[in-house]
Amino acid sequence: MFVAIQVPQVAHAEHMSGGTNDLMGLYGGASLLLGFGGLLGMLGLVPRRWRRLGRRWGTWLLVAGVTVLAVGGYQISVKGKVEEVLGGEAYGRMAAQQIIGTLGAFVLFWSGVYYLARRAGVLNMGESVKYSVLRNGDPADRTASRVARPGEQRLMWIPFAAMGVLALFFTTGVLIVLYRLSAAGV
Amino acid sequence: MVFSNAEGSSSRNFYYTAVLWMAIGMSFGLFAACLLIWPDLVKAVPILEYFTFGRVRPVHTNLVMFGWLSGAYFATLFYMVPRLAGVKLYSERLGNFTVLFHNLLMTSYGVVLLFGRTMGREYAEQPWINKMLTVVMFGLVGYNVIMTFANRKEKELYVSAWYMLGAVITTPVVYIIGNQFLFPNNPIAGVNDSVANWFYGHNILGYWFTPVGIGAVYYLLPKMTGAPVWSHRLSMIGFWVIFFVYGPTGAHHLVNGPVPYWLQTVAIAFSVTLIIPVWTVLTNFYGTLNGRWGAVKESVPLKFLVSAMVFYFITCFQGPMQALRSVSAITHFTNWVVGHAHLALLGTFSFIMFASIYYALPRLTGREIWSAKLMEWHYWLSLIGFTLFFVSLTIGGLVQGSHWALNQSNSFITSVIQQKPYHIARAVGGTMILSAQFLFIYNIFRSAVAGKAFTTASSGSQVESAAATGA
Repeated sequence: MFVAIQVPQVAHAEHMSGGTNDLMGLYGGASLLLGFGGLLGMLGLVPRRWRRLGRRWGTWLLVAGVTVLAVGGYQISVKGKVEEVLGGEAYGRMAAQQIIGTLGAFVLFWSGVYYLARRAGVLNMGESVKYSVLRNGDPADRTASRVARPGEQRLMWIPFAAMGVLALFFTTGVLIVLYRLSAAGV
Repeated sequence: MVFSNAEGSSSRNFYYTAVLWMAIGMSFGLFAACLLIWPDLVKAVPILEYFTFGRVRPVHTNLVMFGWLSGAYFATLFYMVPRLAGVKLYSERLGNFTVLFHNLLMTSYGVVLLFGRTMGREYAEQPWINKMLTVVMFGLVGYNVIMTFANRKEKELYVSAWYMLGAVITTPVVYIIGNQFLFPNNPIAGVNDSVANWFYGHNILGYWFTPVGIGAVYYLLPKMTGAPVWSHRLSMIGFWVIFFVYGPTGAHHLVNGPVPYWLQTVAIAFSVTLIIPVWTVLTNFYGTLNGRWGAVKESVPLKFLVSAMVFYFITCFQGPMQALRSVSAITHFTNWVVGHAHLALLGTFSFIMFASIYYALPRLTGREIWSAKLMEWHYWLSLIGFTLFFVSLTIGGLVQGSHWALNQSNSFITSVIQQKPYHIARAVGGTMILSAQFLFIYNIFRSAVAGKAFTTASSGSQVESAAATGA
């Protein structure tokens, strides 16, 4: 099934440039923010003063993220014109089957791997595992025992600023081009 | 015996040969960049006139991906896997045979492409026989790694072990499927072949380069900071999500092209979802470094890792963005994509390998790195050169994309000429990067003959006493 899905039987020339808008990107982004925030809350990986709040609301945030994704996806697919333009309901059904088949193949495969790993007893997601790399006999670097000095924590702002500046740079560049094109009526 | 069985020898030999392939592969890259500025550079020059862009460019991509980065990855696997498993590598002799096999194959890679024998498939230009041999090579490495884990004494599988095992198991599968199941007569044709090609082209990044690179980060960071990874559970969630989500993303290379609409949509959705594992890696990275930033000041390998994580974030910020149809419409086929590819393979994974080499080689050879100053030069020249490189390509790509969209095909040559300043900036950046690598290679080969004896003292006494005396 995995192999069959990778080799599509027919390639339709329905590239439909500009067909569906990228609203899904917005829904996806919002869903990810909610979902990841929820995950961090559930695992207790937030600043101490927010931990109780995180544990209480983490699951709900995760559920909210999935809901935004599902509802957004439904709204986009209802608004989409694929079936109407390309020959009707039969095509829409085939596309849905192909999507579900692809996703199903991946879910089955990786669920199977996960299940086998759990059964074999090798899947330990616990925190005790992380110490194994420190006691494996491979000598650590000298910097591993370096004592932190006051003010050095501020160095973290350098990569944070770099990431922020670069993300802004790329986003701005793309938005400028998209704006120019829409202003030119392209 | 022809092949040594000495502990650590195969890892060391792979590191040494990988950096030589890096020098060769990057030199071809710089040459290709010069051809973009001066297209008639070698016209009518005997022998060199055959080094056209169409031949030189795939030599560059193949040698840096499979000669340098994959070679360094094999070395890293042979170094870290035994230490993660608590036993020696299953067979150093097999590992050393693989070193020889790899080098012969890479020589063949380069020669074949320079003779113009190319299949014309991105990252899969090699003829059928070389592809078979490539699968054999991955199989040899995978066998050695899997058997090491099968004989392990360390019961717990740390996250790096998961990433590395996942990589060696899935990579041959990805390679075989994406290279038309290794049939010599290319049974899949036309648009369907591009689907297969990009299933492979993107997943070689997601199931080979990403897992081994990230696995190496999870190994190196605790060793360099003395702190365990911030959250093992989060790292494992990242591992499972990445292995689930990466598979269907390949078709985002074909967005707005003549491939099934549903396939593009699945690829876009999964590409956006890839943000999750990236955030787990970055959260863990900065969480582990919290309170230990002073170590970054004094450690060039840590500087490389921090920079690599910045570039990793940017790569994975760009990726979902450029998978969207409206963004893809302006960035596809432009220099933006070239910048993006280098952000991943050079900015992220090569930088991680530099850190890995600086960490592992002293332990493998028993000799410290010869010159701390050259390490600093290597880092800063690489960082500044690469920043110039990808920024110029990104801006150039946006200029290209908007020009094409506004002018359609009326003035394509104008768009080519317009790119010259960006190509020059990119070549200057590339020259800085290549120069840095020559310093790096000189430093590590000098270390092999003249480096001081490596000591296992990890008290940091040299650092602290230097600070106390104001040295």
